[in-house]
Amino acid sequence: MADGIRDKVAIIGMGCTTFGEHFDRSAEELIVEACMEAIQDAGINKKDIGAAWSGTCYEETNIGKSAITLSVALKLPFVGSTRVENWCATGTEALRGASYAVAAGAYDICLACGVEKLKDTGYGGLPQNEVQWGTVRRLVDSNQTAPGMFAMLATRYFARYDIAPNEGKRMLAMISAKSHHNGSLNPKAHLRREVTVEQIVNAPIVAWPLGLFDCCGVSDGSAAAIVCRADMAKKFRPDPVYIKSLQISASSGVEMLYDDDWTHVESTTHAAAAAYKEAGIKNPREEISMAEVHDCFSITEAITMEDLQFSTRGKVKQDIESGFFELKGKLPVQPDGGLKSFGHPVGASGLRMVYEMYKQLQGKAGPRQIKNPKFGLTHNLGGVPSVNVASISIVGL
Amino acid sequence: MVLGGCGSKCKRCGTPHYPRQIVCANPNCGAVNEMEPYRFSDKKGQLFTYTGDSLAPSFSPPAVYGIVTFEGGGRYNFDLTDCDLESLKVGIPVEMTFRRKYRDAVRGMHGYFWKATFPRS
Repeated sequence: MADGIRDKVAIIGMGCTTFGEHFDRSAEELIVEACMEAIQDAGINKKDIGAAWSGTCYEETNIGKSAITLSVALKLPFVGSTRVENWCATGTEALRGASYAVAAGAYDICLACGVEKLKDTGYGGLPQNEVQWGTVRRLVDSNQTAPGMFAMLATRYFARYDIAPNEGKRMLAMISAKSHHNGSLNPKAHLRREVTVEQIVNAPIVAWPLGLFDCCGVSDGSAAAIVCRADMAKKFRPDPVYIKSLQISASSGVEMLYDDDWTHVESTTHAAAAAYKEAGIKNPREEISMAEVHDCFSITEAITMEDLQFSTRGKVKQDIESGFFELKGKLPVQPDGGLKSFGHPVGASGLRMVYEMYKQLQGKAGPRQIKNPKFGLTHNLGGVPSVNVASISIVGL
Repeated sequence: MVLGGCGSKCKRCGTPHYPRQIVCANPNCGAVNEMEPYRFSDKKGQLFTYTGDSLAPSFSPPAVYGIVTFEGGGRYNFDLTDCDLESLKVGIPVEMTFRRKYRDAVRGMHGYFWKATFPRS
């Protein structure tokens, strides 16, 4: 009987570049910076790496297929290297590959790296939407973009819970204002300015009811992790961070075609239940110390709070207004600024989130430090509200 | 099938699907390869949710689209036409119409597809 991955694998080193507009740096430079920070943080030599996983989602044109970009940039000594892609869950997928290889006993030490170089496209949103879905979808779908699809989540949420549009926009604005505040304290974040609720609600509309500040940054960046067998972790450092759970749930297609309510995300709900079971968490609202979730849009964060069982269904507004998720609140969410402020180089984001949890657990988060965290949760949502891949990782000391 | 606004209906449980599926989406059925063609283009429906998208390329931004729940079953997202964002509400009735979707300037061709609009009668 399979018993999951809890406490079988430890993270002993992590690295993360600044996220932003890196027009002056190649994907390879970003990969090397993130991986060398992770390797040095772990105190290992790259010859110690048994196998590597490389995550890139969109920008094959800038980065290339396969994991060759990683292995050649880093001059990895002929180790097994694999490229993974699973939409916005790509970075977490890379960590899952590396962690499963260690848990399986195939290797002692593995590397997971995620990288994306989106700003070179010269386009504000995500590129290549038409190749994401295959032929039939391309023929029949509406003129959709990511903000539009998530905006429809907000339309539906407001209608179901009888929230007036201006009241709903204010609720969402508080989410973005909180993330911008956290990001302003983070030297590695992309968008480091404080933004007020008034500025957010009055910003130009991107896809109604979502405005400019309801949408996350799209960035260049890379993040990396070194994982090893849990029983050898303390040989490398006194404060390794252990993987308590890694779960992925992909849509079955039933949501769009059959019976979804579009006020929650079914895959996140499934991944969360599986992750809490694997990590042995009974009451997430009480037991999870902090979280980095996939706030591609403000409404996504709001609904994710309910899907993760942090807030009761339909009641996230109360928790947002009470400051429950703020840095000094009971359950800080997006302590590093989130996708909103830290930015979103798709393939790197999952590992960037784990980087923040890792630093927080080690007490190295500077002005953003959360007091005595025990469990950190990260969450990605790739795709659109009804057709997506959700990933959750839980890490702890 | 595609330009005809056709999906499929499960012969075993009767669930309509748009677009055509191979495996039935009804979790209590799951029949494989037991579909027959089912037309959605003449069905009425309700607007389940919607947006006006200023990022999507459009000749008259914002691009207005939404999800339509069809009477008799089936649901999908469609462009909306002949309506302003301000006139939309969750739950209003809609029907389908065959309209211009794009213009291929290089080849001088127009492409058409099904869009949702207010009922005309």
